[in-house]
Parts: sequence; C-alpha cells; structure tokens
Amino acid sequence: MSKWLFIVLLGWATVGCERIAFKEEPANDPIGNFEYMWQTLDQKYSFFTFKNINWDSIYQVYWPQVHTDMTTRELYDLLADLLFELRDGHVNLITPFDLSRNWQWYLDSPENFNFSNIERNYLGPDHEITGPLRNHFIDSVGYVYYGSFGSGIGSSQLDYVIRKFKDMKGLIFDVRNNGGGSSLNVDLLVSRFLDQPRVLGYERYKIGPGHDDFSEYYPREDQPEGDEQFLKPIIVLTNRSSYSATNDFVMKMSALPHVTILGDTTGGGGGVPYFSELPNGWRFRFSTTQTFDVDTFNVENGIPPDVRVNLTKGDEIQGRDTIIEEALQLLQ
Amino acid sequence: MPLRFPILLVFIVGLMPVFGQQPEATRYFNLAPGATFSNVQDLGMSPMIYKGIGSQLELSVHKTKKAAFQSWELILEYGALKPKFTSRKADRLNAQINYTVLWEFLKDTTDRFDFRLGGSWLSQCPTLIHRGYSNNNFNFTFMSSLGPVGYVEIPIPLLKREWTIHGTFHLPLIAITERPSFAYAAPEGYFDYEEGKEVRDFVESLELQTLNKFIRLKTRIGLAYPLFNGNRLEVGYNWDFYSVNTIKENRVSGGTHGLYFMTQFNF
Repeated sequence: MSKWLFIVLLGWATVGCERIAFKEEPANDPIGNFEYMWQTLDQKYSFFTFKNINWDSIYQVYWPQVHTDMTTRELYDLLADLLFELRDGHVNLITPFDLSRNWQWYLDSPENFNFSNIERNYLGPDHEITGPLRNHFIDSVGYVYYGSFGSGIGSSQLDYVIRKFKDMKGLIFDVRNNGGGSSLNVDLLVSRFLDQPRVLGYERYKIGPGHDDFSEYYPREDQPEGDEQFLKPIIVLTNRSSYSATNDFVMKMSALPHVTILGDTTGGGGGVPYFSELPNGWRFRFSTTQTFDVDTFNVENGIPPDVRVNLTKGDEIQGRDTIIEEALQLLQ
Repeated sequence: MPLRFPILLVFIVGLMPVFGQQPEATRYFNLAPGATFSNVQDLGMSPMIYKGIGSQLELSVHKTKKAAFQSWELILEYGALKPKFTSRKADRLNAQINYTVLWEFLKDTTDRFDFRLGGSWLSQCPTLIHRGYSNNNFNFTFMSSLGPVGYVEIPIPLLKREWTIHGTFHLPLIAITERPSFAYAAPEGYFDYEEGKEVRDFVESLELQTLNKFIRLKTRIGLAYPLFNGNRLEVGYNWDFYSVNTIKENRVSGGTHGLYFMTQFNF
C-alpha cells in the first residue's frame, strides 16, 4: 500500500507546473494592446533622445483616446498615429488589412528620379542586366543602376561589371529610389571599391530599458574582397528615397577618397528594425540601434550629398536626367 | 500546487534513482520516439505564451558497471506553437545532449525500492523561430548546466513479470547560458562581429548563472517491461522546465511535457 502511495506521489511530483514562472499576458483589449506597444517602444526604441521625442507626453495625448469598445479600425488608426510620431520609416504596425508608416521623409521632398528617362535615354535598349545591376556605357563612363539591396548580387556578377568598366574614366553608381534590403549586399558591394581595410562607420545598440541605455560604439570595418576592385573615381547618385541599407551603403562609400555623393540627402534609416507583436496578433517593428559615419555623425536623418543637384522639370521634359548629366561633367 | 514543492525537496535530499536495474554490468542502446506538448514564453520575442504539440526522438546509451550507472542522451525535438489569439506560429526546435552518472546510495534489503544519487551535465538550445518576423525571428536560449540527480526505482511484480517503475529528478545548480541581447537579434558578444570569429563571439556571449537567474527542472517517470531476450520496453512521461532571466525584461520560460515509448536493446 505504501509502495503504491509512493508511486502516486512520485508521479504527481514530476508533473509540470511551469505556468508559475510565466509573466501574465497583457489583456487582448484596446487598453492592453496600447499599453504593451507604448511600453515596448519606451524600453527598446533607439531614437527618443536624438529626435527629441517626449514619449511620456505622447502617452498623455493618446491614452485618453483609448477605450474598451473601440472598433478594430479605430484601434489601428490610433496606434498608427502613435507610431507616426516617431518619424521613422523603420517603424510600422503590420495588420492583415493595412500597414502603418511614416514616409514623409521622401513624400515631402522632390522625387529627383525618373526611371523612364534613364531607361530610354541613358541605359538604352542594349544595356546589360547583370543580376540586379542594370549597366551600360555612357560616353567614356560606366553607369550602373541598382534598384534594391534586397536583390542579391553574385561575386561573378560584380567581377563582370567591374571588368567591363575598368578602362572607363570613372563609374556612376545610381542608388536613387533604392529603399534598402540586406546589409550583406552592402558589404559585398563596398568591398569591391576598397583599396585597403577601412573603418567606414560605427554602430551602437540598445542594451537596457532607459532611453539612453546604449552599448559602446562598435566600428564597422570593411575589407577589400573579390577578384576585381574598382578604384577609379566613382559618383554615387542619391535621392530622398535612398533609405535603410542604401543609406548604409552611401555612408560607407562617402568615407572613401575616390567617391563623390551627388544628388539629394538620403532618406536615412540608420536603425536596425526589431520585431514584436501585440496580444491581438498584430506585429510591429521599430529601430533599436543607431548608426554613425566615420565622423560619428548620426545618419538616421540622412546623409547630405557632396554635390547637391535636383532634377529640373525642363530637363525632365526633354528626357534628360540633370543629376546624371552633372555626374558625367564631374567625371570628364 | 504548493504541496508539490515539499515533495520535490524530498527528492532532492533523499531520492536517488538510476536507470540500470541489474547489479552486474549491462548496456542498453535506447530508441525512444515520443510526443510532446510545450508552453514557452520568450519575453524578448513576444509577451504571449506559445503552446503546441510536437515530437521528440531520444537516442541514448545506458551503461551499468558495478555500482555506477552512466547515461548518454541525444534528444531532438520539434513542434509548432502558437499564441492564444492568432494562428501565426513559431517553430520550436531543440537539441539536448545530456550525461548522467549515478551511484547506489540506498537499496532496500527487501527489494521494495532502490535509491541512487549522482550528477548530471545537461545541455540544450530550445529555439523559437517566429514565422512572422524578419530580423529577430531566431529566438534561442543556449544553456549548459551541472547539478545533482536523484533516482528511485521500484520493482512491481505484475502478470508474472517483474516490471519496474522509476523516477528521475535533475536539479542543475550552475549553468552557462546565452541569449539574444536586449533589443537585437544577436548576443552582445556579436556586436563587434568579424567574419570568421563566430566561435570567439559565441564564447564571449556566454554568461555564468546560478539559481537566482537560471532554473531548470527535468524529471522522468517510466514503466519498464523486461523482454525474454534481455531487451526491454518502456513507456514513460518526462517534464523539462527552464526559466532564464539574465536580460532585464527578456526572461524566457518554457516547459515541455513528453510521452515516450522506448525500446532498449541490450548489447
């Protein structure tokens, strides 16, 4: 009898009770979802101090608008407005029916890009499409358009393009309207324009819940790689839609002595996005790091060009790209 | 629920079980497929508790020589978990590598039970891969721990055979752990990432933990049936719980319940 009692106690004692270690889940109602989002951003978002955002004051503005009988759409609109205050293209609320965003950093600026003109009058019908790199000769200069760092570039493709233009006076590398993508493609590309290992920027990370709880500055060093390098003059063309990984690319290239940045200030986006989710299943992402150029300039709001040029309407009507024309002048 | 804790304390202090029942040298190769049910809350990933069923496979070797028993285990687990209010899932993967050694501590002269005490080295890396995230979808918790083990074995004559029921209780006291950092996909040791230096970064990210920030409880209860050819069959239940609180606001806790069916090949 005692043996059987012992066996029963043995079994009972080994059965799990892990729920006591779990933190209580936030309530899945408008208040619970609002509170969780506000709190997560308060602890992990990386640009409150840099952008001079008083997050506590913003709470006082939005909290009174939250009520338990809000509709789904009303809750979405309120949370979207809350996130809009951060002025950050890397901040989004992702729902099954909409994606919140703040794209004013390019919507409020001239576009400075007309791909139709570029394709018809600069690339032409005989240009080559080498992976994601659309490329052609323009006079004695090479021209490459790269539309998205989300498109991977192969080493052999880079070798081909660099070899193709190696006897040209210089290279125009156009990343206008390139909204970003993978930083791996940035490193791959930059490594082909380096003469030696160089520190091309710095990064720091949120390591605690305080608005200024950051790690030390970590240098970002790149090395020359690949069979082919291009070390002649390069002009990188930018506009306000050159964002995120493109911003990183421009930051690194701007540190090189043979590179000139031409066009408009980039869109910025120096924070790496980090995901979380609300109790109702909606996901949201936000920046949790900061990126600095070699002069420790915070690139979140964009990188100003060395030479500022805007597309003129007159040129555009005539099929000319003012920015490319200026780049060609500089390289002649 | 609170009454379980005194029972658990009794196991820690006095119960010492072992898997090898015979006093002479024996070796078993074990194959144990099973089904699992997991609850996990990784506050670095989500405030929600993710739950779901899965499967496990254990490959192990048990060796008994004189009064000592040794066990080497490789356990692979997979499950798809989801939170309460959405259908979006996270894949749970885990690999465990465990080593246990036990010595006879107390054997009842009437063969009513056998207690053993020893130590174990337990390592695992439960990982949640969130299907809806991009940058920080890989949420892992590496832990490697040392601590005492207790085992009890009770023979049960039934249907003209000598069945045995046994229970095991691990309580790691010291561990090294590694988690993604507070608000980034990689641990802090990777902040100065250099290609080719991943081992250095992994080692730099390890943290030494004790019970105030790391808890792991691992228990097993099984019913074994000896076959006529020296092999054995066993059916059992295991529970594995951990809670790691090394990064403020990013605690991870999880519990997995498993039912297994083990074939033990005597060699």
